Amino acid sequence: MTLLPAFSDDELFRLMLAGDENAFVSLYRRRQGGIYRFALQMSGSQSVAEDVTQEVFIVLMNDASRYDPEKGTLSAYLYGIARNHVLRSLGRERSFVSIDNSSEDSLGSVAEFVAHDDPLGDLTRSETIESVRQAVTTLPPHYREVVVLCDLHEMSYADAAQVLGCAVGTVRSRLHRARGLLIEKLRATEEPGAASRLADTARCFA
Amino acid sequence: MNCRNFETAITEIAREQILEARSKAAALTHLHECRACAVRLADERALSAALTTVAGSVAENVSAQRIEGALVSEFRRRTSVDTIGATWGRRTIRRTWSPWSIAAAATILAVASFAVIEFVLSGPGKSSQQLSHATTAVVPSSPASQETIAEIAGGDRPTPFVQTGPSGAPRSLDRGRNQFREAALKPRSLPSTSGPGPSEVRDEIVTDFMPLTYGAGLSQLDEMQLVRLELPRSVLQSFGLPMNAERAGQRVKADVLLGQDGVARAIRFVR
Repeated sequence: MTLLPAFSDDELFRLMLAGDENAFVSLYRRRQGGIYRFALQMSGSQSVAEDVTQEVFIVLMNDASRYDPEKGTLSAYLYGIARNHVLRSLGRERSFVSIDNSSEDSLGSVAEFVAHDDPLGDLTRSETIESVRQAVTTLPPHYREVVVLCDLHEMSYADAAQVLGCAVGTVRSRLHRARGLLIEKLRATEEPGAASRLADTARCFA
Repeated sequence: MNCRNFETAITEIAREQILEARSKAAALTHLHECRACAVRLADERALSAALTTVAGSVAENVSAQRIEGALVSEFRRRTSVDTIGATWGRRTIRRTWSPWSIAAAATILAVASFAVIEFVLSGPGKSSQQLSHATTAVVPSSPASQETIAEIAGGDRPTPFVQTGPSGAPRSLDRGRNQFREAALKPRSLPSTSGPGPSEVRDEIVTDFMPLTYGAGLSQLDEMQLVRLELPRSVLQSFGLPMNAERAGQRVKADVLLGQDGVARAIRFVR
């Protein structure tokens, strides 16, 4: 097997369409890690992540003509497919925990973001990883996906907007809200009862 | 800048995104004036650090190797199907025996049967290898072929099958079973390929034999015959063997093991 590291995604895709197996394997190896981790971080399940990864590349074989380079990158196209499959899987399994917040429009009172002294500082590294992972997994999917894409995969707002099929401004506002929710959750994990105190804390709007 | 304005920019500041210089300066000024916003930014920065740690902890996570194997097999199958003129269809990998695989196997069996007929009709040659001393005639699986062989072997049909030879003179094939057996034991040339000479045989690389039929182990066959064929290269993919797509239109040599009943039982590929 000869991999083709020098080729761009689009070049590999064209070769793949012509039946070049090396191109397909090169493209798969280049992109499968990100797709797998995205699905894993969204679902919290290795089996779902593996199924989604497989489905993404099956769809790429089946519906190759649906990818339009004019509309965005191949990577974003693959993430978009993965996202659809993850959401479908989450819908089937109801594996996420719903929380009482939902409307992204109710960006709400900034008072609830008020922190006290060192909210995350006391967590050890492993605790941090586990707590943050748990907190991300329990976010509602439309918040979870922006955190996973923008913060965990370091995707730009524009690329994330392409994956999610929404405006850049929507990504930005969802991420802002999602991070606020994460801070709340982590604080509550670290110090039960802390979250309820937040609402009582005054905030200056000078 | 007040707290509300600061709040709109805090995510970008914490994530160290590019910010307009004037906004950034205003935000920093506000931080000195408002402890709540400073703590809020500390929270956001701690969250960013924690998320970076989480991202790093799974950076090496990749999907299982078996997924790549399954996808590559599926890609080969689709490429093979595409080569013979069909379009890629929607199927799942989990289906073990797809219609196209069955069609490919049937094609091999048909080609093998056809080759046997040609083999029988072609007269003495040089490339066939007799693996054992066959005591019965080779009978292809299809009814038409069986009829032809019955004629050749001197069956019950009253009118002998007559074939015109290269010289134009009619050549009677109304030979008895013993005549056919004797002829079958002699080296023959196959019409579809030239047989390998001794040096070629030494240089050949072959795969293991792969069964073409279920439930019929090769060990159960007392008498087998090996026939050299040329098949479309795309057949390789039906058996999970790699194929260079650029050479998909070419042919590949294969040895087919025929049972006493003339049915192809196993195949190996030769290079």
